[in-house]
Amino acid sequence: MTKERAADLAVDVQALGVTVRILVPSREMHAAVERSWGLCLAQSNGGSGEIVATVTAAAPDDDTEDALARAMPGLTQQVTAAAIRARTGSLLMFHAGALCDQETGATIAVVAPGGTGKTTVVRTLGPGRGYLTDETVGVKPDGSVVPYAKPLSVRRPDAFMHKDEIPPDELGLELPRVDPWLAALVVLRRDLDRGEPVRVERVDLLEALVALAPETSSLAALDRPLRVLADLVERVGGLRILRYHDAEDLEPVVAALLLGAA
Amino acid sequence: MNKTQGEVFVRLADVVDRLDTDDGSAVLVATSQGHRVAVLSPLGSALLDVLDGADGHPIRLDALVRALVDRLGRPVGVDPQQAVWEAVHALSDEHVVVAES
Repeated sequence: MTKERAADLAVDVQALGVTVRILVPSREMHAAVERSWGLCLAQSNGGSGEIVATVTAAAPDDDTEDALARAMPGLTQQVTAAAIRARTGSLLMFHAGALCDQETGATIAVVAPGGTGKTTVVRTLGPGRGYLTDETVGVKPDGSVVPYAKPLSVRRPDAFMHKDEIPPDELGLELPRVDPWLAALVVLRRDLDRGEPVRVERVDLLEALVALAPETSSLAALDRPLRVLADLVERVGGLRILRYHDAEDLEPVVAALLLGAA
Repeated sequence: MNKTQGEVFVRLADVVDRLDTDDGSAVLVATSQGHRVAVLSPLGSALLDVLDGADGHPIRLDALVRALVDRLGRPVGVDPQQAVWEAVHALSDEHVVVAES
């Protein structure tokens, strides 16, 4: 491995509308980070702008691809945390994946706790749509959605505790072509048996707040946070809970929601 | 009201925000596990109004009962002390109030 001064090896990425600088310990890791974060590279998204935070990637244990891959999830967590800190008080942020219609910008946010299906839904239903994120959705007060097109965190089938950070373009995902705006907000519940039809359940406003609040970041830092959250829920026609088993079963529901027909 | 209940003091927990709608009220509370929203019953809502007026000072349970009867009237067929005690328990479970003896 060619050792370099960390300051010489930086990758600037756009995350939730801010620029985060990643310092990496080697050229090999620089290349791996650029590949994984390809849709977020600041240079490809209109320049770096002000760098609001700098994170330092941990050095991999050795030079192997496997060691590089194992270093990536921790780096993603650092970038996400830095971006969330930077947008605290200005964005409403959900633990959610998000996809948009490439013609209208209508966006669906699929809210769920970590490890309960967001990434699978996004990678299954994402091709042909605009990819915004598989982890943290940032919404501005006017309802526009700020992309965070990070690598997707995919659990290895042979190692339950380890996730690979997969470049979105390797999964057929691409950035939104038009400005995304929130059209639908759903909570995922993967609690049906295989073969059961998807269930769409509407919840009233107060129950929506109960369901959504734990899946937000820095909600309390907003001015009048419950009013902000309630206004957003009402603007998208209310919160829906989607009960399902297989992510592909959600396709017609998601398509209908993005058309405003559901 | 038994002796134990009478010696209980009630105060607001870390309530960050409150939303009142035509369908009811909810509060955002900070807990060690993060933020959560609790939906308030009409009695719970009135109880919070009373505690909010105390500027963070604990209110003895029997004084809280009197204040709520003054505000809402005496309920028909329900023991007001017991109703308030149960409401305090429910709100404590939701991390909205703290009850201490």
